[in-house]
Amino acid sequence: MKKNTFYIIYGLIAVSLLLLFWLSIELSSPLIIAASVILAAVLFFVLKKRVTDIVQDERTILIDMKTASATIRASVVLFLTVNLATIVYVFSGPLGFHSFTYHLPNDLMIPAGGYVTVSYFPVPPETIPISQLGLFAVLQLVMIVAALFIYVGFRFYYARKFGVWGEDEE
Amino acid sequence: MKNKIKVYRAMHDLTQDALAKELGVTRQTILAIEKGKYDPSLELAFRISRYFHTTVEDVFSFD
Repeated sequence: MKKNTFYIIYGLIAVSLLLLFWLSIELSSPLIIAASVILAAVLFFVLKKRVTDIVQDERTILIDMKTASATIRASVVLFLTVNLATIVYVFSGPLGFHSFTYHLPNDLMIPAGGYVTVSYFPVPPETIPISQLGLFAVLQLVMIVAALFIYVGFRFYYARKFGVWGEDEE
Repeated sequence: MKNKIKVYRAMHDLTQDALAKELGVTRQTILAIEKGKYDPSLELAFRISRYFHTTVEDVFSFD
């Protein structure tokens, strides 16, 4: 298979995924998009193996390796930052772990001016309402897109470092 | 690391693309080596010198 044919099919797969995502929302069926993404990924790798006119040599492999390594390191920092900030945000909420107890003043059964401490522990559905889980999915999607941008940035950097865009002096 | 690939290419009347195809690498790799932006592996250095019927020391020199 030629490289250009592969890119056209790759584009069609991406458009199909968008349509299936829309269909998945319309039918309220997460299974459609989940299965589609996995199938698309398998199809992508199978088709990529069949491309015959891509020349890969030691320099391109070096660029790939360095880009992948730098992307992983930068993404771990990004994910850790967002995750820790999210943990603090969620568990600092009124229903989170911020307060394990609350006080009942002016209880008739205890002496005046006294307090009774009532303990409670939030159960998961109260800690994170199910409707807010979608926000975390969107946040994950944003981080994946950010990781893609990081990859592209490092790719440009290493490709430039190892001379892809040098002038041809022939 | 310095190299004389460009000189040897001129002597053999070869374009970067033709040399790249002979060696099974991309044209950009030949360009990057010539410009000193990329140091080839030992294997590729030997293949280049063997292609020009010379020694590695003659094509490449440590700066």
